[in-house]
Amino acid sequence: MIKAVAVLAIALAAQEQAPTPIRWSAQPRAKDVVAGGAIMVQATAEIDEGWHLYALDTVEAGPIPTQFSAGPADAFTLEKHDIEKEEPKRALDPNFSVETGYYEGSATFGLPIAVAGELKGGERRLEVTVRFQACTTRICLRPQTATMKLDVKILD
Amino acid sequence: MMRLIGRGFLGSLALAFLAAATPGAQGVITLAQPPGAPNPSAPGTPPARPVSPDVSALQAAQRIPDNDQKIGAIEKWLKDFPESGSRQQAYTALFDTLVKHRPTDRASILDAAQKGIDAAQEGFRASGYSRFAGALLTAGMFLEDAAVMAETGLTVFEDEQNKQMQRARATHLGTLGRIRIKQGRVADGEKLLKEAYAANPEIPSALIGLAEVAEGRKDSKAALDYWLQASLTGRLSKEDRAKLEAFYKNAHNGSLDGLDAALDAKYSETSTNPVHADTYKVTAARSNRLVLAEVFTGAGCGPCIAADLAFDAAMERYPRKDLAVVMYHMHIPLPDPLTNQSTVERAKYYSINGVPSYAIDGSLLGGGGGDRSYTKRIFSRLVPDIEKELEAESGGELTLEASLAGGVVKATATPAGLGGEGNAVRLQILLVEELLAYSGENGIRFHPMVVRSIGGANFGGFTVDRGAPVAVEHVFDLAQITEETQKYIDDYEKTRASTQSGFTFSRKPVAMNLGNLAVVAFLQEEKSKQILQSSYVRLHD
Repeated sequence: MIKAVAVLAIALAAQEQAPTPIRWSAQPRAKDVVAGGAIMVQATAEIDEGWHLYALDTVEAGPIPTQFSAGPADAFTLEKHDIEKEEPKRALDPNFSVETGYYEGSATFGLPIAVAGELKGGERRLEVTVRFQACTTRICLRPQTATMKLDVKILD
Repeated sequence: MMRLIGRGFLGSLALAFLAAATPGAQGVITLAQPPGAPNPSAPGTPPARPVSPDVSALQAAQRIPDNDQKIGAIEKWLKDFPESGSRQQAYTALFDTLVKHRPTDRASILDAAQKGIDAAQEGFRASGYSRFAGALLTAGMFLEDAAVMAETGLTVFEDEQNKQMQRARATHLGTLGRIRIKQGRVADGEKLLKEAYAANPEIPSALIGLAEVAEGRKDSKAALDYWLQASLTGRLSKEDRAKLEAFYKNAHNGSLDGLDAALDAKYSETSTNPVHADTYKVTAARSNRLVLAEVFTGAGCGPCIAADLAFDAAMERYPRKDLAVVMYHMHIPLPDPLTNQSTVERAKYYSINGVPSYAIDGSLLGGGGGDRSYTKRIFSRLVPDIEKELEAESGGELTLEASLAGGVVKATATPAGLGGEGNAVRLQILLVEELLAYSGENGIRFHPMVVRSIGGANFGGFTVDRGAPVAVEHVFDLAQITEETQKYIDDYEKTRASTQSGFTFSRKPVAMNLGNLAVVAFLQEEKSKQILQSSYVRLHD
């Protein structure tokens, strides 16, 4: 049975991440959601000048693609195949000698996150995690993980 | 007789490397550097997380609240650090400050903009024109100059894009060429593949296609040449590697003997270091210190090319009694089978976040590399730091003896002269392979001073009692290290394959060449990371 809930999400997400040239933030696009349906979370990467954030698609012999997930698993599931994304730039990447897709400046992703139908009313914390790799023409960073937390209030 | 590199440190190492074809060769005991004198007046404790002098000086200059003083400080910085990798950032900061606080100083503003543009890597300058022109537009000043800048930027952008497009086009030409060959239109296909190869000589698919065309013509010499070049790109798939080996065996009585030597020779023939370093002339101020350069790099790291080649040039400039270099390989950005648990642990110690990164005697420089065109710039940055250290008194003595026998390397390091007071010190003992041939995705084949293991619990070295240091003996069991490295690489491969379907290493060069080993030891203050003295012993002639 689908239970209607209202979601009050805190606009700015807390982040747990080390200093990086890529800074992430997340906020929900809607205030209300139907349990068993999905809430849309907008994740934004602010990218320092000269850095490339790599796109979501895997390139053979290329960088680790940007990957999102959502949790905790008993409450939230990311619909990975339906992620909204801007079209990345594509070019032959001198760091990999293959064509890569990448973002510069900023990048925004729409993350459809399914809410479990069995959720009871009350506050829940949604965790959106992103794993990504970034390079300039002069240095490549190890893969980084950033977790953004959104407090979601579910009303009966 | 195959052709060797024939110059400098890597050349002589390659010679030794190729000559040392006896896996069971036993090492020769060699004594370490002469011990250093104690240095009670060693420099003060640097900050816990060393930052390179150029970066910290620029940060300090940018923090100055008074704008005139800030401009003066940045201008001084630009004179003090002519080879710093942060010059683009400095010119941008200077430009921004001038625009805000000296808006009538047109000459200085435009000069900072142009120099900021020029400081960017070749092929990536268009965005600089746009950035500075846009800033003038936002400030509403010198619009005629801004227009000229934007117009020039447009031309540069088109030129850069055209060059990039030509290289990217090679991929499509290569694909079409191989299709044509499959269709039996060999002449058309070969023409396209040659066009692809001309546009991008590093494209393996074109080289493989040309090799197969040459094979079809029974032109074994040309086929081998194309196969070797394809292999040296470091991007042969496992299947293509198997094809190369099948071809080679077919042409060499079923044997792979000589294939690696042919690859070495081809690499030496086609790859040159852009820097030819002059030999270091010992100065009157030369101290007893053996300077240690620690380099975090990756065989699958494009920007590491310039750093790797710059340190090759440094090894050519400084003999091993002056400079020891050790290379810690990392899986960044692509997996690197020369990585092992000890190199990963060492990166954690320095909080290394990316590659290339490097430290001279424990002080991290700004890091960063680039393509081959950046080699000279990186090398020029290294030289002043190395030579400053060559004239700095060591903070202690370190005698190292090492021998190879019965499949084990026994190293005995004896610290002395540390003084009773001061920060905690650890002794590190590293087993390195002096030269290893492996073509990674960045195209570098010869990897010098590859760290294979580090002594101590969790590869963390040994505690030293400053007041009463004692000799430390560490035994590297080569079979055990090889087994552990093999397991580490196999496990990494499995983990990677779980997120990147089908991933496998094309080669796993975990077996060590016993005729090519050395031991490097050093004393390091735990907190400051400052290295007090180092020592280096080769285990072969």
